[in-house]
Amino acid sequence: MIAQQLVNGIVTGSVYALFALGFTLIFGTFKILNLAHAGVFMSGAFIGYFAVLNGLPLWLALVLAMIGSGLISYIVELGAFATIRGSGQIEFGALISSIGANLCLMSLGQRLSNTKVLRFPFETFPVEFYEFGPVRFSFLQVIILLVVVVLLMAMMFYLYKTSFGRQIRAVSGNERVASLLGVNPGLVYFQTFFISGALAGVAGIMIGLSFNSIHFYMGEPYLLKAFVVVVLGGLGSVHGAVVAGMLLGIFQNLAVAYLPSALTETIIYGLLFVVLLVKPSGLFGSEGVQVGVARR
Amino acid sequence: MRGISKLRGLLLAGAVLGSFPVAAAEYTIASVKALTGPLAFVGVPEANAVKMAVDELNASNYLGAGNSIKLVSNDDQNDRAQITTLLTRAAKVDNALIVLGGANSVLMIAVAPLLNDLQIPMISTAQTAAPLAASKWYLKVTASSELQVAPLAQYAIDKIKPQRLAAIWGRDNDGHINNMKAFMGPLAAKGFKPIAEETILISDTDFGALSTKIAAAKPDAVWLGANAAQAANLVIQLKQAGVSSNVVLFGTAGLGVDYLKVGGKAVENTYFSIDYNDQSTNPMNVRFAQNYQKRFNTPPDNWAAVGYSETMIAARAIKDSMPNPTREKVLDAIMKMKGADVVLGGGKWTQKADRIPEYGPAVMVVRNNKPVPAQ
Amino acid sequence: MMNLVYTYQPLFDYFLLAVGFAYSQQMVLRAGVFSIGSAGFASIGAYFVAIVVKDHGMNAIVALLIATLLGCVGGFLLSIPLARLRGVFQAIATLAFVQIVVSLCLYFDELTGGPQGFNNIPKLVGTWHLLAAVLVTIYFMYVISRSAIGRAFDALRQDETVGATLGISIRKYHMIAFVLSGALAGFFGGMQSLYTFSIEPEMFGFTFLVAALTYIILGGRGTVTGPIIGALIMSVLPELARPLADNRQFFQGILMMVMIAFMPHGVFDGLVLHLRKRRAAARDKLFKEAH
Repeated sequence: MIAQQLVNGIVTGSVYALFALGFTLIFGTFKILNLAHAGVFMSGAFIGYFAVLNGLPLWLALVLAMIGSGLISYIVELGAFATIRGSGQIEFGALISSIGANLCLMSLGQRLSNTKVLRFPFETFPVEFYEFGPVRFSFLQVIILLVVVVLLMAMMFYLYKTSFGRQIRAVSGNERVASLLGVNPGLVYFQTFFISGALAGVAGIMIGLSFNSIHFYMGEPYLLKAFVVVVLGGLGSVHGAVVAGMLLGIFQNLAVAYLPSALTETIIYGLLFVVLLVKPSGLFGSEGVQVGVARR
Repeated sequence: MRGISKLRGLLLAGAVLGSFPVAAAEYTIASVKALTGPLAFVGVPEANAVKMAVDELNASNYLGAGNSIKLVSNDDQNDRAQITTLLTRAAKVDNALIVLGGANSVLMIAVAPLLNDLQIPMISTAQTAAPLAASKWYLKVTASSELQVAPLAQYAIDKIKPQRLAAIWGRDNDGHINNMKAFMGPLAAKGFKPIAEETILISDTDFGALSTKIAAAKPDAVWLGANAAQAANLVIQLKQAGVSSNVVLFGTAGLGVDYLKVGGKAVENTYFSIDYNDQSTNPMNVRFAQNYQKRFNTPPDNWAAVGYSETMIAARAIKDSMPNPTREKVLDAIMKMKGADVVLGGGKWTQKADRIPEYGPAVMVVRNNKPVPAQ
Repeated sequence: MMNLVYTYQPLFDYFLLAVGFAYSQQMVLRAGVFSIGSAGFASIGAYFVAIVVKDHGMNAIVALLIATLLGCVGGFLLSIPLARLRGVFQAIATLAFVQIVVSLCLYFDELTGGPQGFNNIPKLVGTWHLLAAVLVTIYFMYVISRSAIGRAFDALRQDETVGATLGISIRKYHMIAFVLSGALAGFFGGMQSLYTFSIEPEMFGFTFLVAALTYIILGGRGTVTGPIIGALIMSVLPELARPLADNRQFFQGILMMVMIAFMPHGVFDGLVLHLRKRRAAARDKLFKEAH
């Protein structure tokens, strides 16, 4: 059973990673805690659902959801963050305006779904299983893992090997200096929010497919998990978020299997608390890049 | 605007005199339900059905020619402060005769004592029976867990005899906890001890780990303590994790139509007592289903049926306390109500001395994605 | 007319409670500590008062005093490990603390009633008690903001390093902020218990702390009036939006975005800043005309 739980954990963990990645990208670059990320995630699942319902193939639905939720994420940036960027109050103000944006998105989701829990039609994805000794894989799990790996590699490449990635990092370091050097900050904001939203959108579809439930409140639990992942991995650290997401997934599965399930939450948050105290930069964060840790 | 305030003044004057004008009177029912927020999936279909029921009743001059029911429907956002405010408003400003309350057990327990101060009856959806003790003004539409689950437990003991029974229930909802106790208690007493007991949260959707664990225990029966869509999702994931397709499933009335829709083929062999049977051929049920479909472009679910039924009960109570209905009379009428027409269970709603009503929910089983009476 | 006033009495009561919790949140923010632990202390205070008053018949005033003390002790204990952290890290560590309290309240159901909540608490607190408590708290906040502690908080919030070079002990003042914030949260948690008949673990969870933060940020972080305005807006907003029915939440969301866009310092603090600027401009003008 332990092997099976490990497999399950890696798959759910990879989806956590995908969700948390967009969250940490925005935090790492702009120091914004974007609570509307939950709403963007939900939008992705909704777009995918309605695309499939209207007869589009799943791969196309996935692409549409990526683009759609990427754009929605950028709209959130325009409506909630761009408006307060000049005020010097963005750290706190962003909390309020992103809660506002999230309320708007949830309200739209509620209307579209008529408050019902939606699910993809049964034939959307072939239900097939492969057995390797004691371990069962579903075709869906394989595909999820594959999509996540491809997306992560594409993102790493984009962030660390292209000039866009350097521009993002330049703006995150110092917007004024960056624009003096010829970087267009508007474009950088667009790209960062778009990528972050697109990743959340894919995560939304994946969750909708594997757990059969798409509804307007689906983002909230993942937001809390994203906090955990992002801190464990080191705030703003991309590969940290990936590894931490996997670890959280595995830990959660093992905890359900071997511990009283009512205590899972206590243990996860206890762990988070301890990690923060022992190594505030996260399990994989380097001390150098940190913001605001223990100045003594 | 002036017209409204004049009307309000008139109503206030009516209340002060202790009675309403006899000719062409309006009798107010207040609906306080969660139309936004996490419980909107219950509140919205309920509120829709309430609106429909009031329109139908008024169109048929239910309260006699010239008289009508006025519906004041408000959204409580599943929020304590708003429920308290809206109840106070229903009692003191709208002069409602009765309130149709919400589904959140914890909030209903919290506001029940307030009804004593406001002296207004409230009939609510929430599963819990706890608020009954806090106020004589609190009433329930649906039967209690014990009442609904007892026949199911008896059926399981007599007919299914599960040897490897697993139980899964939502630990953050007292309805699920009570249902589970009402089911597992009698079975354990007869020697059918559970081989696995697991809890979930009502917001959970990922049951991968849990399913794997349950599958490893190889159950022949599973108790599902979850709401419709979540229970269906749980069953699908259990079967994907390798739980036998012959497994017998047990659940409560909360499952309803959405369970079948979301669960598809996976939920065959589910035994449950049912509040609302969408296959019923009872004329009132057929008419309700058709009208609801026509008006809201979606078939009614369990909650719509509950909302429709509670409106019928409230309206009948007002009618029974004519002329000059007061809140006391309305409460009294519900306490004495026998065989009121509803779309729940067998179609006749009867109040009992312990204020836990009865409407003959039957044990059903899912065959070919339809609930049929269990033999 | 009297009836209309009555209707809004519960709303007013909850607004008063909100002000209490808002001050608990503001206390730490003032000192530059980004703690969101108030929900956890409120939960501890609320459960303590509920249990001892209902099950053990303890005098309500004594129970409230002990709840306040528990908040103090809780704040003190939490401040020790958290002294190492700053900013968002404090926020997330305290979020973890809040979640731990919630899940423990759910787990120890024999003591707390678990998810069903702890019910049938005698209602011993009414509008006047809440009002008195809030007025005393306002006075207390005012006194603190004028005292040496308040000035030390302001210095630390604006620049910790400068504060330290001025001889202000960061550790000591952060601890004081935690203790005072915990005390307020514990006290108002207990008041809430004695007001609402029943409490449940999720009442003091993520939604609670988001609400408390909203009051402060929306109203203003730097003034004593700010939290009152913030709590007022958030209490009245749902009622204002009521006629919009289905679009209510959407409107609430938009309004929050708009308010913060136009008044990023919070509505009240923004107003104060604006007036101050105008006064300064007028003075400059006068000064120029005189010469």
